[in-house]
Amino acid sequence: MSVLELRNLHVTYRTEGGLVPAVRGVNLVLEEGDTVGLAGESGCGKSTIAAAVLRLLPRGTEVTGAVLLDGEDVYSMKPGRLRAVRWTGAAIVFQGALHSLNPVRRVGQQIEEAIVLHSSQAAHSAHSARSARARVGELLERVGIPAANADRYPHQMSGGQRQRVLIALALACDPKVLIADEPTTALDVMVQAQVLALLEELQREHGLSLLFITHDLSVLTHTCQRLAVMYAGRIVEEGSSSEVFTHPQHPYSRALTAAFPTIGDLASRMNPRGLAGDPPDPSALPAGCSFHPRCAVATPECTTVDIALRQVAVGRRAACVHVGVPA
Amino acid sequence: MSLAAEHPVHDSPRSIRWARRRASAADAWGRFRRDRMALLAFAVLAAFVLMAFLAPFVSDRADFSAINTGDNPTNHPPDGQFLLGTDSLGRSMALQVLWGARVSLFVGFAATVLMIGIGVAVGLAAGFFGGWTDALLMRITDWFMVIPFLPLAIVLATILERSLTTIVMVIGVTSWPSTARLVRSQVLSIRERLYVDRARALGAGRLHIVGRHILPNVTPLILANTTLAVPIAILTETTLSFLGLGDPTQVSWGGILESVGTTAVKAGYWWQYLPPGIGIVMVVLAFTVIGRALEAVLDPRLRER
Repeated sequence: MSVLELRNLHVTYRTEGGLVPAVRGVNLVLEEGDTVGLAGESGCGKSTIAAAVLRLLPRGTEVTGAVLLDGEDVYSMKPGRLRAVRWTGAAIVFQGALHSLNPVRRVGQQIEEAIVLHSSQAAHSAHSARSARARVGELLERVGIPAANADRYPHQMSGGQRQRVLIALALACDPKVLIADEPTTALDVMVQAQVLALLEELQREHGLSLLFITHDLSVLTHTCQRLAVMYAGRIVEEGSSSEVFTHPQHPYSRALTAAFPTIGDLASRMNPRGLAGDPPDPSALPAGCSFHPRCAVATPECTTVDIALRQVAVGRRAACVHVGVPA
Repeated sequence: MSLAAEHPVHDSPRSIRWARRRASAADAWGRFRRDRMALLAFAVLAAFVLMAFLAPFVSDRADFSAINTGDNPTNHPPDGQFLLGTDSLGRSMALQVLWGARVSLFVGFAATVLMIGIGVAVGLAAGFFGGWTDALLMRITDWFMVIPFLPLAIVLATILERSLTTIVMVIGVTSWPSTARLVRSQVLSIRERLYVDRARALGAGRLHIVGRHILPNVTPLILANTTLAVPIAILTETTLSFLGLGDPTQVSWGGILESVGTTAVKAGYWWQYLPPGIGIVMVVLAFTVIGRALEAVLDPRLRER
């Protein structure tokens, strides 16, 4: 059984300007030990998916479809069960390490918080407080921070250290699924590499299933076996990460991969290729294929027909008229 | 002798933590001490508090009851026997001022606790839960805010039993709205922070989030508000007692001013109205000065200016 499965997930935000569909029919399966990358521009619905898994979306947001955590539908859970599943079933490494930590509490206390919240009632004794503290020390050492630093406040640590604290926090309750939501966004390249290496190491060591969300394709190909590229709330291409990166099928994935210069390749350096235009406004999506206004190979058909994901090769799907055979 | 015995090694996390706390408290005290005015205010306040505490030990309350003071001279100016003279019933003014400090300080502190308590509870609930709770609580707050304070306090003090508890209740119940608004606005900003989302993702319930994440972040604001609330409460007690709405069985500074009344002023019996008046001014001023100094010590942003 898969540890995390999204079945035809739709998420629609209610705003003053009307309904905004942020995720439009996403299917995604994460098997035990899988590492799946989710890529796409800002505003394509990546972080919405992360929040949807643990039901963290703002009140009033419309969610249809199903999110199955270990076979159990998150959206039909009772509040108590939901609280128990949060962080033990799936944990999130948030983006923006500075803001995800409470500035007035010590980092050790904040990791302990997760452990204490999920220990049973009887465990609120002095003994369990001690063992929780010992566990905090272990977790910090595991991510490469001296246990004595549990006494520090977030502002006394560097950006890389804070991100490590968040990773330690995510591991506090031994979750099966780890969702990393742009964990390296605000870090410099060296620290980014360290954090990525740490995440990979922990993933292997604990047999974690990892859902890695970022806009940085090169990070994903490095970390993930499989890759899904999102555009305007939909997955437009998926497959093994090396295949998607080297032979992208969908024109959007092609534009994304082409945007990365190859080191040493003068041709790509002198001739950087980007993608013109902005991602569409989710509250006013173009008809047909939502990518057609920016697509170089759009046909008249693209303005009217919305292509669903279809098989390209084994384990490889894309949503484009030019790709694969209509089912 | 080994070196370790001379300098015991403190390396357990707990001892490090305590050492750090001691250091930061010493640091705060050091900075506070550099403020001469604050130090003076602190000494004045300490003297008044000490006075209030010692009153029952150095004197007997029965000494200034209206019944057994018949032999004392009335309206007597200060001399060796009566340090601050006597009032129109021959009661020692010094004793009254001494015992009055007890009531004024007690009411000041108790009413502040009540008013901050209500204000914080309402502000937290309104800010955190939002929606209907917020709308309802804020309308109640508005209601208490627009009603002129003194008439409301007078009505309450009149219909309720005359006692110190009533005075404390009246002050607490009528002066919480500004605290509630202040706390609510801060909570509104804090509840949208990312770490609150993070706590929710951890599986934290609402109580946990309010107690562990929101309250600690509003605490500095509450502290600052408290130091400013105490003098207001003391002045309000004085006002109510001066208007004759206080507890007639207790002596408070406001009560003394009321009982000596305008006759003392007209007759020039300065020893009857100056001491309690100066007492009020000194205590209120001391609190305000200490509050300002504390704010500067605890808030690093004010310190750097």
